Amino acid sequence: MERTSVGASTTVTTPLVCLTGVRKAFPLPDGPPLVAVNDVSLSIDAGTAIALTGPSGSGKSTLLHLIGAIERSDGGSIDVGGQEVTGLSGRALAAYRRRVGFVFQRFHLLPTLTALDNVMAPLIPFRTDFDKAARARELLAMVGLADRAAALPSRLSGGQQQRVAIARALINQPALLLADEPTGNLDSQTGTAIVDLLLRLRDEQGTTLVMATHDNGIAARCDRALQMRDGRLTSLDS
Amino acid sequence: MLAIAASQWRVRLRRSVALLSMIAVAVAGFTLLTGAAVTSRLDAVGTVSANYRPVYDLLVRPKDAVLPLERERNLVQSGQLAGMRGGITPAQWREIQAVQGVSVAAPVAMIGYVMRTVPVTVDLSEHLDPNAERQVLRVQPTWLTDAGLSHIPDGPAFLYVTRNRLDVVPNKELTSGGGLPPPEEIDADGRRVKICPAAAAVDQQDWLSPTDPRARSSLTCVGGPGSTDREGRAMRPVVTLVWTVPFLMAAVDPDSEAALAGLDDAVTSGRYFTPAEAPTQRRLDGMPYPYSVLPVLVADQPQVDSTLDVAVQRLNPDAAELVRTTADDKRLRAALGAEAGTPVAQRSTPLRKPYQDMVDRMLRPDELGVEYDLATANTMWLDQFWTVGPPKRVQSGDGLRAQPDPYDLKIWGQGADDGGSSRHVPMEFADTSVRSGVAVHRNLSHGYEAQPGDVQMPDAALGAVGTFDPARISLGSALSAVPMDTYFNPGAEGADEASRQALGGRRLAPNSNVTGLLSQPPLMLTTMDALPAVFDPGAYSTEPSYPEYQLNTAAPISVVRVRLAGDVGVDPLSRERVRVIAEEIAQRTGLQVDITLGSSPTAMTVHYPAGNYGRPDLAVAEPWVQKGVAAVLVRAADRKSVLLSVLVLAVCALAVLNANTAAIRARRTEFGILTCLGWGRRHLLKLMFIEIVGIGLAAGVAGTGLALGIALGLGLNIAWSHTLLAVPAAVALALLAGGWPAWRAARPDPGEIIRPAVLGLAVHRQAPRRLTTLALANLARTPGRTALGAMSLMIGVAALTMLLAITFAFRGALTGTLLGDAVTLQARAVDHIAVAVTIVLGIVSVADVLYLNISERAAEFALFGAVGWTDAMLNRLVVVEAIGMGVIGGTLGAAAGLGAAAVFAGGVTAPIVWCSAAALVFGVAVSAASVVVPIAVLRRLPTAQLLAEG
Ligand SMILES: Nc1ncnc2c1ncn2[C@@H]1O[C@H](COP(=O)(O)OP(=O)(O)OP(=O)(O)O)[C@@H](O)[C@H]1O
Ligand SMILES: [Mg+2]
Repeated sequence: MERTSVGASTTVTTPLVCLTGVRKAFPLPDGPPLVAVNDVSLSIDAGTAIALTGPSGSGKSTLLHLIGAIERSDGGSIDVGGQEVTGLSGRALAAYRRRVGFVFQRFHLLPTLTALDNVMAPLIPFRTDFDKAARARELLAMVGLADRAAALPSRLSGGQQQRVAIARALINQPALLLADEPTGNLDSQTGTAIVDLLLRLRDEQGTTLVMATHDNGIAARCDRALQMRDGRLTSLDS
Repeated sequence: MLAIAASQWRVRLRRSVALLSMIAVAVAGFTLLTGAAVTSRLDAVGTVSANYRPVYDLLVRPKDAVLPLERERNLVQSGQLAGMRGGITPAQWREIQAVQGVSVAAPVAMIGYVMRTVPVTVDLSEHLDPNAERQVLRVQPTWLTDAGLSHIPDGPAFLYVTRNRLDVVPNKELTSGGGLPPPEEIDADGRRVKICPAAAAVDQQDWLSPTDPRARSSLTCVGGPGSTDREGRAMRPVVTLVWTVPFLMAAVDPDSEAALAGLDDAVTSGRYFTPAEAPTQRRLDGMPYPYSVLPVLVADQPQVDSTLDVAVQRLNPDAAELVRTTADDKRLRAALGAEAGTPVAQRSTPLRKPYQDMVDRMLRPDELGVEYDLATANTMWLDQFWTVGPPKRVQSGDGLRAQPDPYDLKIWGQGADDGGSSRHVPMEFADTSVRSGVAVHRNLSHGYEAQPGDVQMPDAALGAVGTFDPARISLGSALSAVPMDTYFNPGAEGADEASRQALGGRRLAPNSNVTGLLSQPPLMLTTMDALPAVFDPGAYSTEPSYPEYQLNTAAPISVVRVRLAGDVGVDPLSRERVRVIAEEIAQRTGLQVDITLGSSPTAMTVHYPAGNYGRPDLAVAEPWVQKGVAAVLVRAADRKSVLLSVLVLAVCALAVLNANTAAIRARRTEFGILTCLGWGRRHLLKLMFIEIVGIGLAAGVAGTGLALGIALGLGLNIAWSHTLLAVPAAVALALLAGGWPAWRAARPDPGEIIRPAVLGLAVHRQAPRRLTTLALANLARTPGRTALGAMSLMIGVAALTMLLAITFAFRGALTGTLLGDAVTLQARAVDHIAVAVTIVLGIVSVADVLYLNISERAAEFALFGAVGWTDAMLNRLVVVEAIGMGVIGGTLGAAAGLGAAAVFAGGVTAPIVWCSAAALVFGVAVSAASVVVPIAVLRRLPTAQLLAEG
């Protein structure tokens, strides 16, 4: 079993994420392809929190998927921590995905696994020098679900599932956390708590945060807010 | 990793159980079927080997004795001997004996038919009217033959009884050449009345057919107390009917026949031939030339189908007056025949006893004397004998049609109206003839001249040395019986319903009509060394004098039956050895050699035209021999075993592959998520490997149990080692069949999880507005899922079609011979199990895949429920989808199965097509049924949970 490199460096000064001319189009059954991300160039410094806003369908999720190597871009380059993501495949791709935490807009928990197992899921095939279960339990406690560790996802509320998904994204202590509307399903109080948690990660561990959100309040709490419209970045200021 | 696999099994319990039971059924089916196929093959080969060797391995005949039909269809006809006229020389026989590897070469030389008569005495004392002074009784004999279908009336026998004394000139007082003086009745007043006039001398102008009842009638006169017959014995009121039996006579080689057929062990009285026994030479006192006595063994049963029915009538009183007043014998018998009478008795006389009497008398030649009763042919003189040709048969449809082929009845002898020599001819000769080549051979005494005024005595006679029981001849196994015409004619069963009905389930057996279809086996056997006495040129003259009717003096042997040395197995090497020997015999002698080794009786339909006495047109099945059956059987059994195993393996693997694909497909999302979380391909593969092995192990154990249970329950004989193989087989099967879908699933496009699993096909631009359209749209938009469902049905239908094709092909290759029928019957259990297992496998496979389909769509259905669809609507949706899948898969399956059948199993027949169509309909019904249950189960689960699970 290989060991995965976990833990983030806290002393990064160069941009962690650097996008140049990234493009993603989806073919449609009738008509021209739909360009979901159109010529996006962007650089994100390490240890910063970025909010990605924009109307529904503007391409936020797609952009996050491209950065997280969940989807393959049609053009441009995506450089994360000095590694070109667009060309990755096989083991390197899997390794990259483990270095990035991803919280899906629709959670995507594994229905057959308990909350705890779901949190542990990314580590299950690997041997680690720490106790996987203990760390997973810590993370569950951190998101306030210590008492629901044994529950199956279908028995959890939407917000609870969201928090399990966040805990799972953190199990590898990623340097980059991509979160697609992490508070979209939460009441404002819990939402605030989650955002607090994420920002604390940035502060304490230097985690770089990119989150898509519709909430202007949350956007305001980030270091930078980027707006998307029709697949393009429309503002680059913070 | 194991934990995650375990939790997968636990949480997806229903899915796991579905997959597990699928593999378990497949494994059980595999075990049962391959086990049964192996056992069945062994059984078949065992049966074939056990019945491989007939009484003789090769049959050598003259080339012209072979019908085209035999060559065309690899057959050997039966019942041929009686119609054969030699064709093999003694030198050729010795040549065959000299071939390396030949152990016995047993020749048969046909001589011909010798007529023997036996008196059947009918005692009428019970039927006399005690008050009548004179009376006449009429005894009407009728011969029953052809399984009771033919009633052949013979000439009547009249009995005149008077209370007065009859004065008869005793034999010893008769002067030669004077003719027989009639008896005289001495009336009460002392008047002497000549009665019972003797027959007039034979008049050529007056020739009557020997089977004309008028010529075959008789009149016996019996007087009161004090009357004695010509022998000086007291007169009794009896009439003597005459039964004539044609004795077919053939020559065999004593040593060869003992070795081949065990003829020496079949001797029931007297003795067996000595090796190379030759005729003894004798000379009668006062005869100018000697005569040869041919040693003969006589069959102790007549082997002809004949019963004598006797009806007794008392004639009106004026009949007695006719006897006293009519001087002309012929006119008297005709007048008596026309007299009315009243029936007084009817009885059936078995002929066994008279036959035995006759044989007994033959065995006591000293008592009998060769000169005994020459006039009535109850003699051992071989003064004349008859030969017949083969029946006239033309090919008709699948079989043969015998055709009436009349000949001149004069051949049977000088007809006469004196009730004498015509009685040497069985009444059955009046029936239809299908053989025309009838010839009579009369003794020429080698040209010796008798003294003027003396009777010309023949120079050949028969000397019975013993009797034999044909039932004691070794015929070998019934399943591989070859013609043993020398001893036995098994008769022929009805070949169609009408004929069977007409025969009343009995067999048509040979009768005394030697020109009929079936011929009796030889009732008299002599030795090869006795042949010159008959076949020497100049010994006999032939009439008609056509060259082809002449005795084949140079080549008197008709067939040689050959047994090979040592063990001859069914294996290819042995078969080749036999072929080489057969080839060598054919080359050395130029004769036809048929390999009867490994043959089996088969029915040859022969149409027999209606007879003159009630036998209707019949189609009978003659027991011919199909050559090379054993080899075909073993090949067919091997082929079937291989085909079955391959089929079972393919079906089980495909079914498991399908089930695995469905199971893994249902987890695409899960694999997508794991990939997003950084799992590599190896990790996914490893996870699936653990799951598959786990399920395979469990399924193996379950499958073994299932297989054992079924095997025990059905009393199947399956090797234990075979069932133990099931566990590793299950794991291997699961891995083999799970490997490919796992390999594919292990490189999921994580996009799968963020994109809907529906293919937006352009064809369906228009939104479905009706439930049926929605169902069909669903099928089209989820081609992967549809393909899986259709595939499972396709496998089932194709497998069933193939299986039936294999089974029918196997049966088709075998039926028609006794051995083939036996083997087919043996294989029937396995065939049924194979069909049952395939059907169960098909059902489970279809149900499994459809169930997985449905559970995959649990959320979808829950949603329909949540928006107010009723169960009925939901059922309709899935049933229409299932029928759609079923029709696609079933049709493809039927096509694939029929195609495969055409290629591998030797052709498609109507029943296979019908079964395939039935399998299709049944399969579609099963698909429709197997979706309703899981839907019902799903509907009982809370909607919210289902929605969340999706
Ligand atoms: N797999 C896909 N195939 C086709 N089109 C897609 C696919 N995924 C996304 N799109 C389209 O790409 C565009 C961008 O979608 P995306 O999910 O990125 O928007 P979003 O900004 O995240 O919206 P929301 O705020 O509603 O989540 C949309 O118009 C969407 O319809
Ligand atoms: Mg989105």
